[in-house]
Amino acid sequence: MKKLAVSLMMVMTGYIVFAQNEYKTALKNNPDSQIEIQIGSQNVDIRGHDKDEIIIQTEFKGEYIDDASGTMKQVPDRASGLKPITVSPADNTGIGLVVNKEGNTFSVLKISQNAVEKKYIFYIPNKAKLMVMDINAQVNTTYTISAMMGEVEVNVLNSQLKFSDISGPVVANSTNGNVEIVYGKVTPNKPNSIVSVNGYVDMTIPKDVSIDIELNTVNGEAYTDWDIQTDKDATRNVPVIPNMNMFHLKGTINGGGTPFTIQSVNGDIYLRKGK
Amino acid sequence: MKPDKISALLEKYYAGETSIEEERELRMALKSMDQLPEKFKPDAEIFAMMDALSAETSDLSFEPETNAPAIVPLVHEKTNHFTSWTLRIAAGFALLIVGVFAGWMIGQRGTSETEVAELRQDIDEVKQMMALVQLRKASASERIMATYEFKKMDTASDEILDALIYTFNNDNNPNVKNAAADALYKFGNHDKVRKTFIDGLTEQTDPVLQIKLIDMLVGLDEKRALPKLQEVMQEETQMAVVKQKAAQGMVRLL
Repeated sequence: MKKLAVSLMMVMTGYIVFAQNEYKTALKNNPDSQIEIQIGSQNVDIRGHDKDEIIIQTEFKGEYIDDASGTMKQVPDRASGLKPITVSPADNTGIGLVVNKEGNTFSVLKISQNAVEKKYIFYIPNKAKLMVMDINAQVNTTYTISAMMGEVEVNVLNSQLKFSDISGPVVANSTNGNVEIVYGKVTPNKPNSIVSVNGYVDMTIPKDVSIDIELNTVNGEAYTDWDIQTDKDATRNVPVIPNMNMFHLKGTINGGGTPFTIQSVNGDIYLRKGK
Repeated sequence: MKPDKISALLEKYYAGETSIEEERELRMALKSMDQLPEKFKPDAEIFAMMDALSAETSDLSFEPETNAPAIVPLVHEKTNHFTSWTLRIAAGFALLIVGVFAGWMIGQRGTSETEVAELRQDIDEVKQMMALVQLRKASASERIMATYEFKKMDTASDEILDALIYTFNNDNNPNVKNAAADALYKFGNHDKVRKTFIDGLTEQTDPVLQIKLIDMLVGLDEKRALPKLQEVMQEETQMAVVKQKAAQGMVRLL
């Protein structure tokens, strides 16, 4: 009976479990689920897994956001395993984050001011849609995103982006950071668009995929080990004006297919053939 | 029906690959779900409109009424029944059905070039309507896909241009704005597109987009852009490379 009551409570609270350095909540693993992450932690590692659950882990223990100061406080040993009671929702995870869950959307909205130097690891449903945004222009974050099969949308200012074992589609934009992206496979017919204004874009695509590719960089160069068949009609839609575009190429790989666009202003473009 | 099943069926439906049984299941699911997820609402509207159109047409009787009054010509004001975009989409789908039927007829009896041209036009209209729906989707990738669809078209209605201009000005994703600009360039003969590009030079803040706009305005030989290009060059906070591009653009346009 006691177990039943505990189980019911977990269902009613959306299966939220507080541990000292871990937070968990349930979320269906399908494309209708959405995860939005808007934090400025200096190191964010997002890993897809094939489960109906979000797990967030941190490298520190027993700290929480204090309402009054907005800073982290240490939980005393006697309070070990208990959830700090806070007046406003300054920290509803016990790990320095403010989160919200509404329907099939899970959002990480805020991070404690002095938790920004901490590393956070997110295990999220791999078929869900992931959105990542910077909220703190002062922080230079490294986002590592891996093993995601759903759509990934990233819009950041100064952050570095490292994707691995991604299926796409990916729509990513970093103003001052580099973008490194390794596709494990490519979801057909879903456009991918990667932009870095001042950084480089280094993309690896599996050798057996068929894609349409468009590359643009103003002050950078482009390098590849692919055999790209250039499109003779490339000037039809995008103007290529002599001496104004430093580099522009539109073509196909393996006969063409899923659209890929890579753009930079001051960075180089590296397009690699994967396994 | 589970949302992921609905998504899969919708994708199949829009690709024209669903069976009659699957379409019936889809129709029932979109009608009967109490709390239909927000993302399916445009699709549910389309199906509702199609049902409404179907109900209207099914009331038509071809049996002559024996006591019917003599047929007299009726003069009435021409009205536009398709005032909302959802109705137009529904009409588009109805046209698709007509198109499929007509295609079958072509196979059976052959047809004239005019009829084939009309058929193609109908199918183009359907594609345009579907792309308009896609442009409103929550997914950035799908919105980009919609702009690709518009880029394939030879002409664009005011409604399509307005939707693309809205996306160009208001979308919260810079990559989608960029893709909308590419699609609009295809229709650069329209003055509203040119004005959007000129205003965008100072209103848009993404340097990738600003550089693209300079290229496009030079490509369109749009001399009205010169004052705005000068503004870009004089803006202190502007990136050096954008200023440089603006200067090159001015030289080209002068």
